[in-house]
Amino acid sequence: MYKYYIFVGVLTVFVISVVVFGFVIAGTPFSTRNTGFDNQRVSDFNNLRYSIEAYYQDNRKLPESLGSLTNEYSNAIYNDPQSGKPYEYKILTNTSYSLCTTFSLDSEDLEKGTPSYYPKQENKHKKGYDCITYKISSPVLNSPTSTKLPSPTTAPANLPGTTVTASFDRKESVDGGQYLYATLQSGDTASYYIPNVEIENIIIINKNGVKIFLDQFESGDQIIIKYNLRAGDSRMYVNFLQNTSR
Amino acid sequence: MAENPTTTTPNLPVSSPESTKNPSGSTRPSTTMWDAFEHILMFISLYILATSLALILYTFVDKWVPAVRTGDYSYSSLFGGTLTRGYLAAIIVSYPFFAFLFLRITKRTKTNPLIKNLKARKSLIYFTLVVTFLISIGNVISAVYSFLNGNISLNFVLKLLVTLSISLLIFFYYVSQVKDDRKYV
Repeated sequence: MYKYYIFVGVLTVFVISVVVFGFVIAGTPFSTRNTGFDNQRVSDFNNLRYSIEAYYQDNRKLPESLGSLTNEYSNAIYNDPQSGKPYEYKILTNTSYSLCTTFSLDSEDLEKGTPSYYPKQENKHKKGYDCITYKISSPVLNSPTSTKLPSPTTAPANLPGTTVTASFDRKESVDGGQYLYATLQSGDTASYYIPNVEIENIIIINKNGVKIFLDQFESGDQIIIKYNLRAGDSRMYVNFLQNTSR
Repeated sequence: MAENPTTTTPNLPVSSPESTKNPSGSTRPSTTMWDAFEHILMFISLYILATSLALILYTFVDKWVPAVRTGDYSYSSLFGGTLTRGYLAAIIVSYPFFAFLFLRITKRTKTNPLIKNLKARKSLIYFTLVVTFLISIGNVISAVYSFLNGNISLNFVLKLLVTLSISLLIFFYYVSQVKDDRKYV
């Protein structure tokens, strides 16, 4: 019988070492919790970033505070998940700003745990109080000053599946739905900027119904954008920008 | 039949020589539903433990010897720690059950060899033998196939070794049990 005890003892040692190595790889329950907090923070920063860019798009300036991002730009008030305090927002220049909070981990350590969905390079942060500096992205900077969109409280102009003719330098606003259809016009290129929306797929179909690339289209082709609205968002803008190099 | 029928108690009609020699054993020398139940629990925890051990060792292999082909995402690289934590949970829960039941059943079969004739035990052992044999032979076939195709890698060989060592350990242990059990038929 003693040999069975020895076998089970050896097996126990083996299983315990496997579990310990497993925790080294997957992260201990405590570090996983911290990873979750930091992923939430980075996710909130990205949402705020989208909202700030949408604000910049309409007002050609940065918001004075995060409070200026009223319901029109931001549906949720984002607070730090651990402390519950609002995130700090600092304007650095006309087109750059930083968002600050107290992080639980270095961004390098995050890779050990659940992978983040956001690019690590531009969301680098240190453990403890740190700021991430963002710049207004160039499509927004280069977009021509546009007239303000109608308030999203108006009835949806374009229901899913409705075809809209998009002239360039003009915004199309869509409430809800999954697809945006737009017919392209002569002399246009597609440089698009779509805040708050997760784009699944962009397809351009020419008059013969053949799929073509973004830089090959001609007047009369259709662009179909499949998108998912993120939770809490209620609208999207599609900007078609004129390509000045042409 | 019992050697000495006058000394056996009347409520033990089918007792083997060993059990009459050891009447002071804590368990009654008969097989009950409870033994079958313990066997079923032990084998279920063994299956869970063996599967999750193999899968977590796969993630270790992927971690230290990544697959050569790029773009060939394994599940472990896609889901990161999430799957590993699932395997860890399975091991943490199933291992104590397995260790406890394994020792208890081994102890009981030593004191009461009648358990070796238990129908549930036999079916479970043979089922396990068939399954571990199928897993081993399937893995060896896929190894030979990859070898013939010329895309065998260290990652693949290590995973094969993990699977084979776990399934063959179980296989040969129960082959020895079957041989041992035959003496008591």
